[in-house]
Amino acid sequence: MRYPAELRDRHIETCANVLVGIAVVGSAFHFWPGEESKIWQVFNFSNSAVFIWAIILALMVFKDKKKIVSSMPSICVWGYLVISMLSIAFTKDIGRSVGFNMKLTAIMVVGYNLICFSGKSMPAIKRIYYFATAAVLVSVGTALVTKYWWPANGLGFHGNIFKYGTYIGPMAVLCGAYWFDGKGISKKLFAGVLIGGAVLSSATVGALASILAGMMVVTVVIKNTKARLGIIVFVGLAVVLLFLLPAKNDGLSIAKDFKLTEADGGNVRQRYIEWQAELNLLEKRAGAGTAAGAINDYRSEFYYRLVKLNTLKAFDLNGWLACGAEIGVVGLMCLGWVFYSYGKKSWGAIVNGSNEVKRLAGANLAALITAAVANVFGCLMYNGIIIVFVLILAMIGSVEKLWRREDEI
Amino acid sequence: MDVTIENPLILILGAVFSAIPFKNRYQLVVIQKLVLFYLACVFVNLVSDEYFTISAWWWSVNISYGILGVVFLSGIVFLKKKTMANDERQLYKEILVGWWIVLGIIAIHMVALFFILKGFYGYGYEHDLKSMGAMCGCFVLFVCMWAGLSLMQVRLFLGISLAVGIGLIARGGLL
Repeated sequence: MRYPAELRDRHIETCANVLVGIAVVGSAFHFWPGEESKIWQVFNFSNSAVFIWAIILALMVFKDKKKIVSSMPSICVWGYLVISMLSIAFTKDIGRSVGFNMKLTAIMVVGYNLICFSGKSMPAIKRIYYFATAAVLVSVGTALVTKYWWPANGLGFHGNIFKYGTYIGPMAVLCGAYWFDGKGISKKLFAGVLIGGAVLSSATVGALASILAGMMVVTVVIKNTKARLGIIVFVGLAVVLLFLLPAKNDGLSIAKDFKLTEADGGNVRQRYIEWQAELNLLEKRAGAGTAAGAINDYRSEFYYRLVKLNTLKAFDLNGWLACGAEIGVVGLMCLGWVFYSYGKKSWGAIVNGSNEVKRLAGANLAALITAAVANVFGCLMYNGIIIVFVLILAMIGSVEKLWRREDEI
Repeated sequence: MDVTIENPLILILGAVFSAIPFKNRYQLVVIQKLVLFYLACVFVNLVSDEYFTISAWWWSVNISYGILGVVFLSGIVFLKKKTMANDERQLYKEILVGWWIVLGIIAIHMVALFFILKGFYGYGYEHDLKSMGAMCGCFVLFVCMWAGLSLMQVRLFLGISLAVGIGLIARGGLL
């Protein structure tokens, strides 16, 4: 007896839904439980889900080529990836750069395809928002516990406040905006608690700035006056509490991250010196860059008169400047193009879509702007958090397809 | 030369890919154009540390080969008719906005860092304008080259020339 095509399609869809759930909810666990294991850092929950989908895609490629192609990212994402790969020409450590690019390509192409493939209809897209909400609840919950009650070594996101900031900003805004625009007071209250919790759990300027920027966009985009008022009240209250409540672990106090000076009091923070070094690097290597994943090989040559203090925390990197320094101005231009292209898609859905589409598109646009701000104080392209950026892009792509289908009908 | 190409084969393969005459494959052609544009920027970057001197009786001036490269490659602007197809124009505008976003972000960083560093060390920074200049050079290249790269002959010519040029630079034999 032949295996019916319909049944096969249904099984593939179920598979995609389960894998999206693992990828999105699993992202909240970051590298837990194998933080020290290099293998687990590659095959963590999110990445493993994407790799499994890559195998399924390979099996599908001859029979369902059209379906695969229709769920692929836009040309701007491909452009960014191609430039990133070409930049490998300038690295001394080709293995590291190739590894970096492979992870980047796998998540940006296969991960995007997985999310788009799963989010074909309104209920399916909403299910992805539920997954994202679960991820935010897990990461905010653990972060709050470690910050205010149980001072474990590091924040909930497994010891790295900068990665956590880059992760939680876009995720919290994506879900917060979605729930704030829902019908009924309970959804708005839930959104308020979610965003309030994300603000309270912040330990970096980047996290706070990105959440505030995203929620400002939401207040502009959202039509509901009660929701607007709710956002202002909840976010305002959370910001006040953030500065008043003392953190159990001194390293997680946000006031520390606002300081412009180093502990010695005489020097500017190493973070800003690194930013300047990356700008200086553009003078000599604007076209070539240092190669993707190889910024540390060259950056120290570009301090010039500035001091090098070796006090930079891990992952405290400016994603925009790092992108320009690593893959050159053309790569940076491609990143700008990605943001503009997907922002435009979202805006199109906000202007032309039905009320439900507008709700989703508004949340996506706010999350995209949050990601752009978060990228100043962190890097969206890190292994473990890149899935958030891909999630936002894929949701924008899915919602765009949805309103175009609505438009045709 | 400040920048060395550690693995030139990758760039040469990129140049060869962009010289392949694809027909009616819009997306692939866009990637080819992007690759060629990247290679042109890399080429200008590689030669911009070398200078030639023009001197007369009482004066002499040093000019970077990078400027010569920008001027030469910008000449492509004259090879393309002014009209672009609708989707091409749309794409060009999208990328142009991408450029403005990037130039804006870099400029904001420069201004912020100028004030931060001046407050601490008494000087802002002296390399910023040169970095911005390098970026603007790439921007000028984009504006002048992008439309012309739609022509298959131009892609073919540039692909082969850049493959040879970059290969020679990598072996240390061009300048």
